[in-house]
Amino acid sequence: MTYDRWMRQAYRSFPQRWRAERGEELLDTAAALAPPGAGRPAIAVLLDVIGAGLRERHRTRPPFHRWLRYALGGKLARPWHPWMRDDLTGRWFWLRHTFRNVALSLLPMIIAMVHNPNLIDGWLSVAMVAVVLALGRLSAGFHRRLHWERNGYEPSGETWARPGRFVWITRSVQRPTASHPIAPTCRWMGCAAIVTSTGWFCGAAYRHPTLAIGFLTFHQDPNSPIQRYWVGRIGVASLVLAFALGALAAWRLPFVRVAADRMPLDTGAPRRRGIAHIAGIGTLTLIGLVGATSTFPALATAAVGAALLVIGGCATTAGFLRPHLQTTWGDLLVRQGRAATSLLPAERR
Amino acid sequence: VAARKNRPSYWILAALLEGPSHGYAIAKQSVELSGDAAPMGPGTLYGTLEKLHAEGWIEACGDQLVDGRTRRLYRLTENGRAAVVHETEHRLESAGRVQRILGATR
Repeated sequence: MTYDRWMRQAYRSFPQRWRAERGEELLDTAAALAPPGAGRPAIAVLLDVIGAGLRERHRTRPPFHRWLRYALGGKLARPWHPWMRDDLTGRWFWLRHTFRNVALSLLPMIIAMVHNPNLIDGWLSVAMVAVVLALGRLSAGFHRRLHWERNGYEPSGETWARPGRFVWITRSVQRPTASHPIAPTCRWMGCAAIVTSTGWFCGAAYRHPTLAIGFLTFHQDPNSPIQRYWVGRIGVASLVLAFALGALAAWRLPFVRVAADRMPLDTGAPRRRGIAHIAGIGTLTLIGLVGATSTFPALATAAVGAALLVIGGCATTAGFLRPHLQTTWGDLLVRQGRAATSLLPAERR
Repeated sequence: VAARKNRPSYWILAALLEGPSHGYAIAKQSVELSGDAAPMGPGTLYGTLEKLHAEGWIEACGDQLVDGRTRRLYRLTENGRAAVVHETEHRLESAGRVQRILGATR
């Protein structure tokens, strides 16, 4: 590897925007400062460049509270838009998005696993990590467009002129609201997933020692084969209950329908979008089943799920907290309303 | 204060006292002024230039063609000049105090 290529590898520690503007200048100066005929930079020089790049990244990144708001789908103040541009256009955006967005949505699961490491183990853990990564990869485009739009740019990011200069879009961007043939099915599943996963969250938080549906109560023992037998049945019962609740909410609560209709849809390719939805909803369904059937009474599960649906609907309709609802978790919460709407006869929608 | 805490900052500001200069010349001049006490790698140089620029102590002032390559020129701002003067006086005072002690103990 030549001197120049070594330096090019090392200077990747600088932010992308910095490299675009000043990278060649740094490489020129590094070459001029190098001893004549040097084939490889000294380790100290490489460390110097890498360290300076990392310090520059640290210096120009947004403070934690601003970063958190951005990660949850909110706006980022304009001084950090160059950082945001790097984040959204970087090669590993999908991985960052997976960790910050999908992992944030799965925070309850992570907390419960820390409390109770036996909750999910073996191949199931591996499968869940794989599904989470796949979900992150598939939904990255949607979230990239969401961040662009939320911060005043076209969803494609094309209005960005060049680093350091901003084009502010004042008009609101019209987004298509067309649906996909498989979307209603996905939403039915999402409806169930939200309720069961909410129940799982509550169960994980309280680690209730008994499991109950209506008048049936069971004492929990993860090692018992009978418990394993019941897990499947209670899971199915939770799903049925969730469907019923979703339908009831959409039928009796008009604002849920309004909120659902206002929810912008992903503008990506239909097939890709469908796969992303199935992956996301499948993950949550799986988590919901594991959680709701192992830690908490299912009736309380359903009650909390319904309460969250109402809160989500109110918040979205009023525009309050809407940016924050548009995380993966928030998307699915509102899609539950859509799912419920699709259960209704056409004349009542 | 930042120039005092961070030695490369001081030498880079000092290197720009004579007028606008580009990265390579600043690095050479800094090493010379410090008597080889402050080695200036490309990372330290550009990291510090970036920081000084953000603090408003230096500014870019055009390009210069050197050996067929375009190099950006930097110059001190009024604040930058004031900072380097202040720091130099501080160092002279400190050195003077030490020298007085040395003279007394001989």
